[in-house]
Amino acid sequence: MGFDRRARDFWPRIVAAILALVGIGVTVYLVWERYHGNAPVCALGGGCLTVQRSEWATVAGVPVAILGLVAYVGMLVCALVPRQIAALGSLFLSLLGVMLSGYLTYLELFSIHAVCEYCVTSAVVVTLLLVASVIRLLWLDAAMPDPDA
Amino acid sequence: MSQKRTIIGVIIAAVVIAGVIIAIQQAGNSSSTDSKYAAKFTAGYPVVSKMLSGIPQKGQVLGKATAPVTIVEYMDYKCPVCGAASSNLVPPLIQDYVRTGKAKMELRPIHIIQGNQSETAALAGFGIAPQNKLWQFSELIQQNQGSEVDPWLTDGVLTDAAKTVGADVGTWNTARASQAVATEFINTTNAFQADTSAAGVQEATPTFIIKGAKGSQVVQGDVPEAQIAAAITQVGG
Repeated sequence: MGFDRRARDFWPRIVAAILALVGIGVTVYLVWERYHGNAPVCALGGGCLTVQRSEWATVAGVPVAILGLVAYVGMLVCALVPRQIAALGSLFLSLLGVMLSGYLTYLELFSIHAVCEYCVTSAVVVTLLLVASVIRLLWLDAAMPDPDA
Repeated sequence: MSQKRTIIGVIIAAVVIAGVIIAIQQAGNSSSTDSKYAAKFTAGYPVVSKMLSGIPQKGQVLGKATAPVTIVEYMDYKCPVCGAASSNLVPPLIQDYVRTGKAKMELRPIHIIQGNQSETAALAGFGIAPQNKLWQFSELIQQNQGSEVDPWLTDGVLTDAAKTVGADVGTWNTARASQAVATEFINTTNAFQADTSAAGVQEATPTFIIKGAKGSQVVQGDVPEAQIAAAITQVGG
C-alpha cells in the first residue's frame, strides 16, 4: 500500500482516491440522512427526500446509499493498493457503479419524477472514477507488456 | 489468461452483477394492488373509529363548535409526514384537546405531492365531508399510506376507504365530481397559499394553524404534541 511518485499509475490512483473519498462523503451523508433526517415537512420539489423514500431506494431491503458506501470504500482500497489486481477491482467497481447510477438516474427522471443532487453528484463521481480506472489500466498496460501477448 | 481477456471478464462480471441487482430491485417492487389496501383499511379502521368515537363532526370540523381554539390542518393524502403526524400527533391532540372541548380541528386537504392522485384524493375528501365522515376517511388513508412516489392512491383505494368508513358511496361519487367541491378545493388551495405566505413559512404539509382569542400560531411537521400545546396556550386556549 502507498503511493510511489515514480509509478506510472501514480496520478490515476491519487485522483481515484480523492474521488472515492468524495463518494464516501456523499454516501455517508445519504445514509445518515436516511436514518436521522426526519425532514419536518413535505416541501414542493423536495427531491432528495422523495428519492430516499421511494421504493427504489433499497435493493432487497438494503438502502442503495449503503451499497454505494461499500463500493466507494472498495474503490478507495483499490486506489491505495499498487497492484494490478487492485486496478482491475477499481475497473469492476466503477463500471458497476456507472451502470447502476445510470439506472437510478433513469428512475429518478422517469419513475420517481424527482432528482436528488447527492445522487447526481455520486453519478458524476463514479463516472470520473471509471475514467481514472481505465487510464490507470492503460498506463499499467503500457508499463508492463502482457507476457502472454 | 491474457491481460485483455481478464479485462473483458471484469467488464462482463460487472454487467452481469448490475443486471442481477436491477432484477432483484424490480422483483421486490411489483406488488401493489387495491385489494392490499382494502385489507389494510379493514384491519386499521377499528383504531380510527375508536379515536373518533363520540366526538361531534360537522363537515370538515371535528369537535365542539363552541371550542375556544381551532386547529386547522392543511394536509396532503400522499405526504409521508402527514401520514406520520396522523399516527403520532393527531391522536393525542384529539384525545387531549378535541375530546375535552378545549379545541376543534378542521381538516383541509390540498395537493402538494407530485402527480394527480393527491388532487383526486382531496376532492374525494371534500366530497365525503357533507356525510360527516371526512375525519374517518382521511385518518384511515393516512395511517395506512403507501409511498408518496408510488401510484397507490387509486380511485379503487379511495372507494375502498369510503366504503370502510360507511359512507354512502353513490352520494359521495356525485359530490366529489361536483363543481361545488372543485371550487372548495381551489379556495382551500388559495387559503393555504395565503396562510403560509402571511405566516412567512414555506408551502409545506402538514401545516397546522392554531387560532384563538389571542391570535394565531403556525406549526409545521410531525412535531411533538407539546409544540401544539404551547401554541394553543399562546393563542388563549
